[in-house]
Amino acid sequence: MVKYIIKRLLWTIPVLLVVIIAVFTIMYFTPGDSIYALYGQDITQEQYDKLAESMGLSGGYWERLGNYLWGIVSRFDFGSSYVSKRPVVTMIAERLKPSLIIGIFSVIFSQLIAIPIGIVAATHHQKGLDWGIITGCVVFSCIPQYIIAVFLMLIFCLQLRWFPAAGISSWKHYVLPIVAGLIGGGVQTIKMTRSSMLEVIRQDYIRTARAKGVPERSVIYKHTLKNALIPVLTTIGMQVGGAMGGSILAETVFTIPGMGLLLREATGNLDFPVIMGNIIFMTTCHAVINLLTDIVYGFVDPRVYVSLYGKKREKKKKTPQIQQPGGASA
Amino acid sequence: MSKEMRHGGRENSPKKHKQRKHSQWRDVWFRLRRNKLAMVGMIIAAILVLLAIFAPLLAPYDYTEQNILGRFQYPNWQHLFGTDHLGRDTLSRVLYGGRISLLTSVIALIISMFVAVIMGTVAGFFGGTVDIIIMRILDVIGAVPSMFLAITISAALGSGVVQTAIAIAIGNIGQMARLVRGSILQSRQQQYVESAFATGSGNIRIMFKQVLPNVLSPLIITASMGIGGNISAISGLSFIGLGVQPPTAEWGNLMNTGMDYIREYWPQAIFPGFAIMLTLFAFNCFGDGLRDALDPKLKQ
Repeated sequence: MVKYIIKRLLWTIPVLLVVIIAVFTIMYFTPGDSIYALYGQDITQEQYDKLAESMGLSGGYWERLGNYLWGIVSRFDFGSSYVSKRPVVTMIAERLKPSLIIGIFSVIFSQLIAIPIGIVAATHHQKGLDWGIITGCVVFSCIPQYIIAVFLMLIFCLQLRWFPAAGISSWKHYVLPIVAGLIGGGVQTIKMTRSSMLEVIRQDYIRTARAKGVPERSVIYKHTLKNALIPVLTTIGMQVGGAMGGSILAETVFTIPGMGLLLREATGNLDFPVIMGNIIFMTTCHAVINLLTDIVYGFVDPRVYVSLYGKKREKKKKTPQIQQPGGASA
Repeated sequence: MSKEMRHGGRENSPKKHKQRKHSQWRDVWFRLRRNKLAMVGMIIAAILVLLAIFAPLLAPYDYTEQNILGRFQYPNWQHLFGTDHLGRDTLSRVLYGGRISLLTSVIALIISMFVAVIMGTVAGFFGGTVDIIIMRILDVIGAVPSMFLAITISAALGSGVVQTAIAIAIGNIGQMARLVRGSILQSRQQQYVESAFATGSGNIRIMFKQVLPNVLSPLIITASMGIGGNISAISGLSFIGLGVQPPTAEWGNLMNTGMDYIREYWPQAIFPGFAIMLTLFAFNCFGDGLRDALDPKLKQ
């Protein structure tokens, strides 16, 4: 168990390293000179060299890659922004809060809303309510998050004027971005919960439970739901990844100064240290969330536990097993 | 073995002979036709593709034709979708935008499929070290959230149709290559592959003749589902100002331009959005139906 987690953690390090090197390489070979982009074409060669020196742009590929990696490893230094001249780490730390609030709340709310809807759809299988929910899912799954955001903004900010359209100065500002974020993930969870419930309902042990007279409520909520939610859990991890990507677009619509908008501004300015820092940070988050999902998945589902860790989970109290000669051990 | 004996069996059972005429694709088509939602999706998708191809003939105005005096017109009979901030006809621009969106999406699909089939086939077929290396490469690509990957590559390659297609395609390769590899591994263990090896067929021949056809139906399914996802990603990328950029009309950047004026005038941002939604609806429904038709076992 611990061995598996450590193995996964250790495996994350080379992956991140390769991602850093790959992103650095892409950025290094990107056509477009940041110095000219920032200071205009008419600076002298001398000024150019000076600026290159101060921005860490002098030297060849290997030298700069080495400096960059060493900076990260030794000082947790991702360089400074070309534009604002401030350290990338501080910039990310400042921008983290709004993105985090929107991301976490939209994932939590989408689960809270979507799982009950999925259960209702499954228990009303092939009845009106189920068809209604499925149709809703089909419709909403065709609307990308940023288009939902645009519609929400148009209706609730500009027509009804219930919520402000831009900024983050009060809780009201967070409502619409969270709603925009939760719809996409919610649809996925509804579909997943429904199909997973339907699959479990058809299992023999549910039939047994019903046959022995367990009340229907208990069959659904205890026997079925417990088993059906396990695959749903894995989609949450994927949703967090999706929410991070979608956040860039939603933040653009609502002008929220979060990570997404930071990345967007940086790509506009060819501000490479910020782009790299942002991508590396997001990739790390993604990796950690995936790892957590896997670990939780292993804990919840004994079958996965066995496939991951190779043996059954040890019970806290070990009953001494009597080895019968010739008999198969349990 | 005499000639009569070889053909005798078949002539005696005409029923069996008749059944053989049903090809797999006819069955698929038959199943697809019964799925109403999929048919609706297919018809809308076909119409959208035709609209995109014949945009120059169908567009009521030239999509670059400006008319400053008639700008910000709400939808009316002259301009069904209204006009934009330069007085250009939004309907014409959406039609032309569809060309670029669909084209970019298809190019991205072709690129990702091409690379994924090669990587997946090589990994699944040869196994061993090659497999490990390829899978590790895919792990690294998969570690970066796809939208961020697309933004990085798009920022590096610059704007344009092909560049955007590449940026989107790279994010899709991982999933597709895994899929290809999975089906290859599965078919690799079949007896007909073993017997092909035994009769002395070469690696390449077995790969193309025996193994790759098995990948076809999962690949068709991913492709039909992928078009919608690609359009969503491409327009998203253009929406934030990367990807395909003005003056080229693309649904995402049409929306982006429209967002500048949304406080006073909504049609410019909303109609391209409707176009994206309709396209996603059509391709998703069609893809779902195709999946059910190609793999009836999956459907509960």
